[in-house]
Amino acid sequence: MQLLDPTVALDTRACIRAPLLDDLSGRTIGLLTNGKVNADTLLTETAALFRERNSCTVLDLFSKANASAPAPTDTLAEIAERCDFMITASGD
Amino acid sequence: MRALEGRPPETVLAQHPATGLKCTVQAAAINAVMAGCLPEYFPVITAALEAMDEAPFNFHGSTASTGGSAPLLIVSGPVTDDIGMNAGGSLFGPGNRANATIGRAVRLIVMNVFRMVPGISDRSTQGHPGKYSFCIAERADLNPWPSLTEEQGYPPGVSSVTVYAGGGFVNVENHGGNTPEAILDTVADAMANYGCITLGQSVVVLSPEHANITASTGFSKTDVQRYLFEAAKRPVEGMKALGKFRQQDYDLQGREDMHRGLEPADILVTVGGGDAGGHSCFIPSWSRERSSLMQSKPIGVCIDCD
Repeated sequence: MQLLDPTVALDTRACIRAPLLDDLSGRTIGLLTNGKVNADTLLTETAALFRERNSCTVLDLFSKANASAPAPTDTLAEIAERCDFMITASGD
Repeated sequence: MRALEGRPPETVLAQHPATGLKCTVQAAAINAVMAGCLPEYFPVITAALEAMDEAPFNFHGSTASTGGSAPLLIVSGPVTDDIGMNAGGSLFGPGNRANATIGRAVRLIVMNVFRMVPGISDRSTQGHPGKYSFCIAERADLNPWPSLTEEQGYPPGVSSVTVYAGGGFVNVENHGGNTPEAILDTVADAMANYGCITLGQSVVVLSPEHANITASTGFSKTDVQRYLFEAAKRPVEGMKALGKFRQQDYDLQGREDMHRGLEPADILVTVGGGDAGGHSCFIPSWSRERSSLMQSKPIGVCIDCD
């Protein structure tokens, strides 16, 4: 008798954590919304606190095609290129 | 099982868009065996997986969401008789091996291969019984309209499977109405209930009795879709009163009231069920917007493939 595994292995990915920021002052923030009700408000209000307290620059809001789809790779790459850290939020 | 598929076991049928997990022919076959499938069912499963792999279906969202949907498989064409599927009485219920195990195989693949595990990565608030198995056949002998396969443009003799991220089953009972309008207004009322009305697509499975009444005065399927779309609506004031009004949805639809879906073609109409009984059903979409669109694939054949 041969036993077969009904699961599959996950491909190994070269994922590493981004280094922690030692200081938030003057940093640029990217915002990614899931597009649901109130997500934009949550993000912009949160970003406003960073702007006020840490003199951060806030980029225009990035969005996805719809709330439940993974963020497009191009969008993530652009955000990573343009900001020091990103905040995302799910509203509803 | 694999011999019925024909492609090498390492062939990738579908890939999880977020985790990258891949469902190969081999993995699908193992889960199909575990589900109790006969080998001749396997081409239906591989076609369903390839349909679910199309980006507009939104595999990740529909299987992870609190919305708790399940992929409903609607099989149309001669394969339904060839493999003994049930398009008649209790087609959603137990008692037929093909319906039960094809749907179950897809569920096992969702959990075992793609690791959409209830309570962990599947965050369904309540889910529904179709998450055990959700697979039906379209009834051909008492369908007064073209089959789904014909509508989808496949050549004669070809069968297809349509996958739809569906919520729970809504029974539509009407034993007294004997006009198309009476039947369709009853269906539309179910489609427009405040708990269901959204911009999402719809699946309506008319019982043979309801389909016969509806077609008796010359209603084509397109007529049915148009009628349902016009009738399945709620006033803006009502949507606002219940906290369900979204300006962007209203603007996108561009109508006076809020209708279900964006256009009549968003309503899939098919026929299924026993010879007797005024029981049809409406399956609401998981998607409240346009996050998941139903997809179809031919079964066991390759049309316009590379």
